[in-house]
Amino acid sequence: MAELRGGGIGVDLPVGWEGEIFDRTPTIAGRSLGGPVGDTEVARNVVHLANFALPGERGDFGSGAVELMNSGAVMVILFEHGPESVDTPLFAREGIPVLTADEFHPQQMQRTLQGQSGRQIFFRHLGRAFCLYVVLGSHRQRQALVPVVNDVLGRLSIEPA
Amino acid sequence: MTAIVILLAVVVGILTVLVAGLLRSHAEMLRAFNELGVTFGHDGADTTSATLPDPVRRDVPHASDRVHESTGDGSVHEIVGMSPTGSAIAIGFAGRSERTLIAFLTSGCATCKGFWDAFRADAPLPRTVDRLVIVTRSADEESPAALTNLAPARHRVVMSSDAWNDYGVPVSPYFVLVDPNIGSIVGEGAASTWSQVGSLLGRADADAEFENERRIDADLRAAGLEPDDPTLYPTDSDGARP
Repeated sequence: MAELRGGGIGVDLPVGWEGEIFDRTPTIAGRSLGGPVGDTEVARNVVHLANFALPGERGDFGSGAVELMNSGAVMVILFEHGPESVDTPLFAREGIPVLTADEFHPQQMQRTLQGQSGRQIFFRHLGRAFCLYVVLGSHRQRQALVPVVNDVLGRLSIEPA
Repeated sequence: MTAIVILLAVVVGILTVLVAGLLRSHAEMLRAFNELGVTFGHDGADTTSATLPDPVRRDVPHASDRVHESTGDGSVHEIVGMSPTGSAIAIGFAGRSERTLIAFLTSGCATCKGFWDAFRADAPLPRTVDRLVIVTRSADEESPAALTNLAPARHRVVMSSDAWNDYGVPVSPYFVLVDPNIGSIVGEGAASTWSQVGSLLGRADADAEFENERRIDADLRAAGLEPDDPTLYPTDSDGARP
């Protein structure tokens, strides 16, 4: 089991999973440290977790990777927003979410891909604001795949702000 | 005249000693390379100055067939480390279908430079490889700044000295081919050019296929059947094989 830690976020990955935590906490000089391609807004940290081989080039919300997903594949993305977002209504939901299969829909994908479905939830946890974006390789297999997602979400630990 | 002859004799003597010293030094270097699993020759198609040994194809039931200097235990290990830009990275293999080629490189070795250049130029992967992961030593033994300039965008680069230890990497550049389908390393070894890696992997795959056929034939003979036994090949009502 691989343990992944960075940016005050940790996860004990299930066997065979892989991931990356882009620690982009702003430095003193205000320069961010690395990150996926295709950044469209300044995020503090981005977490990519997947049960398939993640390519080197990926967008914040998984572009470049989700196109490679087969029917059993799952990708979990945690996108951190700045502290100014924590008390906004968008992030009113408290705690790391637990998902149900009914919540997933092909139209919730950032970009619709044949057969896949997604779920996007905004939440806050210990004074930090996040967007959770989950992609399932097969909408038809969501009943089987969502427990896999919840297992990984249960392995997440987030340090207080 | 006598003085010139003596002088020439002395010069020849000195040159003889120098040449002997050079030959001895050369022999010692060859011995040192040989201990690292590198041998020199001039028969490789892709070879310019050195021919490195074939990656050792290891059939799963015969994992002790290794003849290189790797000190790994032959099993597949997850790779956990950091990217040159400071991201935490974990690469998993279990339960997957992708064949992954792990390239162990350094930012400093001259031979590695050719591989970095090839990877940045998007050199195509060998036919039997689904993805490439580049692994360097950790930040306390490597230069993240140098790696940031060398790292290709398309492939993942992980800084992990633990991975070097887990796979018993004896020399760089060094390549390990992981096949999660059989949960094992299917080939590993050193190479001097990217095209050489491709040809060696192709040869290792052909060897694996040949061994597989031999094993199947042996199993059939143990069951009292020859490989061309007609009962193995169903025919339709006209006696033709479908």
